Amino acid sequence: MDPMLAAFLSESRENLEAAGHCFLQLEKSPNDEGILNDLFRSIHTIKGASGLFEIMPLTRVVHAAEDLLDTIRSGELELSAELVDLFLDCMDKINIWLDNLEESAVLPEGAETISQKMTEILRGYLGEQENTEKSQSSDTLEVTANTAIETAPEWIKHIPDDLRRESYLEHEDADKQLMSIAYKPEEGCFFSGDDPIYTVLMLPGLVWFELEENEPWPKAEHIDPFHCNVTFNILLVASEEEIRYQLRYVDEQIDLRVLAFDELIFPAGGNGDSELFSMLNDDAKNTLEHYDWTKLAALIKPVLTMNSHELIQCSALLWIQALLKQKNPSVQLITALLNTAITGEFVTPVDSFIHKNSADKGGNLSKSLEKNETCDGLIQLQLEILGLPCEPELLNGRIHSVNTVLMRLFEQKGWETQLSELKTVTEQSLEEDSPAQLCRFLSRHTSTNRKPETKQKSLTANVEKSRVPDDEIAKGYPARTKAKVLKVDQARIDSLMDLVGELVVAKNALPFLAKRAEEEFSVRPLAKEIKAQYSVINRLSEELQSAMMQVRMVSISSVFQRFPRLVRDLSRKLNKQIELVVEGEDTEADKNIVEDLPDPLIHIVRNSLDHGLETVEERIAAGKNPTGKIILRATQLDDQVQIDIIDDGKGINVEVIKQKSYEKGVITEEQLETISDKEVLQLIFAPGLSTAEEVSDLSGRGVGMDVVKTVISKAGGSIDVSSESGQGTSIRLRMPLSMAISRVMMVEVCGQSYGVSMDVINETVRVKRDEIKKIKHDEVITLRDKVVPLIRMRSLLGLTESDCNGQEEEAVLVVTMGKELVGLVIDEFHEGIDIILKPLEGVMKTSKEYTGTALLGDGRVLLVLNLKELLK
Amino acid sequence: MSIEYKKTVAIVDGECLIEDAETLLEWVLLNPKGKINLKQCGHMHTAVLQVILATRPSVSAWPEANSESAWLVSVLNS
Repeated sequence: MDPMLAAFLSESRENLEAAGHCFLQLEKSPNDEGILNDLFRSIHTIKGASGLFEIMPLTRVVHAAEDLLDTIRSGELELSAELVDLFLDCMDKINIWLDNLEESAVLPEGAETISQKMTEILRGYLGEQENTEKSQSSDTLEVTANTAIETAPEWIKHIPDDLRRESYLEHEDADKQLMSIAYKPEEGCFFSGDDPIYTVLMLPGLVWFELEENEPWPKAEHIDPFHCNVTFNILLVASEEEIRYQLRYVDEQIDLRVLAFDELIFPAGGNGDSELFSMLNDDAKNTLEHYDWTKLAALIKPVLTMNSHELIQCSALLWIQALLKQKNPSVQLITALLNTAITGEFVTPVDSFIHKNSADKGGNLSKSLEKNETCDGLIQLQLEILGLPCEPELLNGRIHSVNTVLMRLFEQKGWETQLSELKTVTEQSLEEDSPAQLCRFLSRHTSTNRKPETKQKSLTANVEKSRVPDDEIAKGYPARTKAKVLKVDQARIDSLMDLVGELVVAKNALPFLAKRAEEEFSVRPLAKEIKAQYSVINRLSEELQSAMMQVRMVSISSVFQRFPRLVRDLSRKLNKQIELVVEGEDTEADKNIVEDLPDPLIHIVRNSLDHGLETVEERIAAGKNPTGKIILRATQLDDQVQIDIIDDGKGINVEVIKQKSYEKGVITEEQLETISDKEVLQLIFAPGLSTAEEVSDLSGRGVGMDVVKTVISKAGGSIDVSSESGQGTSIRLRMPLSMAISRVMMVEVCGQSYGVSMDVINETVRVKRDEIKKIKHDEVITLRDKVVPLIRMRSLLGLTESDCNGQEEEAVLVVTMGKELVGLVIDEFHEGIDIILKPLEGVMKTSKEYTGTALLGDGRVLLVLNLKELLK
Repeated sequence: MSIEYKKTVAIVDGECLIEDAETLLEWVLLNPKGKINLKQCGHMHTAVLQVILATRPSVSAWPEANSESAWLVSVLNS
């Protein structure tokens, strides 16, 4: 895989995990800025890095999430549980995508659609925010009517009528937004090889652009051709993401605004003879009243053919035509345009921006007015309006309009004193012909802690021009403290591990050599020296081995980390109150072991959540704390890790299990009577037993605990359950600390050596032939008053049956299988050794009778038996 | 160099690179009444365009509609 992609994957996974953690913390303490900043940084990093690859859908989702987080960080939006759900969902999706990337280096099919959907949802929240702002600005329009639309730049008027109309018709394409960009390249950009115009021409969805000089052009002889002195004014219809992505290298040089498509609607052109158009007057207005759009279109058509399209009247009619092509044309806009056609003057209709679901937005506004933030926003907006450049004759009107907005706002809030102050200030401003007084008054009234708008433009010297200082921004991104962690590909560690293993094997050859030196060549001093050297190498290799083990040890927290999320999601889903307590996260175990843990653990925890813990009502009825508790505890024993999953739920109903097991044929009728409660509990690990009344999507599909048990025992662990009715259930997992080196006993059967794992060996005994009794066809021995069935390994392994090796005694290896003892008759015992178990490969891969192989010191290969499988 | 400088007209043929900006400026200074022929103009570097915007020589021939540099028409005429 591309090393860069690999780095991105591992880094992004970490970041996602960190982000997930942050979200859960935020739910507890939503106002913690530190956590929010951490979270933002994680998401930001993913976004940044993802830009390096061709994975636009992913980048887009992360970007949307980042934007949304940003509004949350700035306090404009509150992080609700619903939002957290949404974020977590997105992160899950991204995680899946990362997996896909790892597998095939590309995103799966359909990622694009999913991405769009998610981005839409995320942006939906942002949109709400923006829409409120927009409806505010249209409120101001009500009184500042006839001045330019605030959010669109002035130069939008430079765009030819027909181009605007063309772009307007594209607005039905939901993926695309109308954007204005003012792109001011750096003065020295030519020296760094930039060709700004090329950048502009390459923009997707480019509708129109113009160049504006920043400084007036000097006289020809003073021109410096390599000094960039232009700003590009650009109009686009495209997806914002895409554009931002395209312009990511000049991010600081652009002022991108997403505009409402309605802002494109204004007729332009010279005023013509209005008599020609007055004929439209009555007829057309009549059609408006009846919403008879077909008739209106029919009326317009002949007028248009008769006139030059350069007239503003015609432009208005052409706009009407364009609007009529829409599904729900805005009546206000059409009326306004029709008026233009008749009078030659255009008045922006009051609520053109909110004509779509205006009722809803209005409700939002009055609700949001109750919040001081919105109020501040409104005041800030007025400040901005006053700060905009303006013709002297329009100034009075502007002051009046600001006054009206503020008056209504103060009335709504019931601020009497401010109201009277406003009146005097407005009068002063009008007298002085300068908005300075009003500005000063307003800046006093925006709450001081409000984050000032960075793009705030103000021409009035008295208005405090407050920008977020750069170092404050930088605070959001504190320098990453470099953890002294070295990231190494696991394959390298594995190969190192193999080498250590081989060293151990090679080292084991030395004693053989010493033996030969002494016995075959009779050089005793040499043998002694070899032995001395051996002990040194032995010590070193043992140290190396344990150091190697340490490297492979990972903290179990990586497994536990995912549980807060799981518990949170499930408890919301199941409508239960659950508290998760995690203990002993620092416990370490071999990486392979830790990697085997998640699935079984998740299953167990799910079971506890789903079946174990009761709903709030049930808990209250049972006199328990309404909040259920699950404890996940890891502890380290000598060479094992013990993991307890304890819940204080209703416990396992022994009777139900017993009944179910009987019905499913897991136990016989006889057993039904005699079985002890403790044994019944073990039955939950039996295949094909599920006790859930109903199959839910969480658990209860009958492939539950038996799978868990298989996985655990495959990893060399054990699982145990205890439960008390009404008090809760506790499940205990015990896993080996490390799987890499295992201890086996060598046994000989038919001249062939086999390894048997020390874990299962109970004892080794030599039994006289006549002590072996027969029960029907089966041989047994009595060992300390216990009947132990015997199994002859020769027949079990399909080797020659001639077992009479002429000895009086049989070697019997007594092993524990489940809870039972079994005696294995073998030919000879040998010593126990430490081996590095290698899984079977190639054609042997499918044979379950062996757990693996190991290389011996003298070069032989030892087959390690899988007794559990053999004795089934 | 894709600009051919004649006495009264500079003919742009093909892609205008940043190096052309300086030579074009020199030519315009020498021939203040010189015209510029953009008919065969390919991509034009911003620096060259700046020279034209700043000095405004009259254009004797415009690029054709739908050509690579058709945008010059609207940009220079606005």
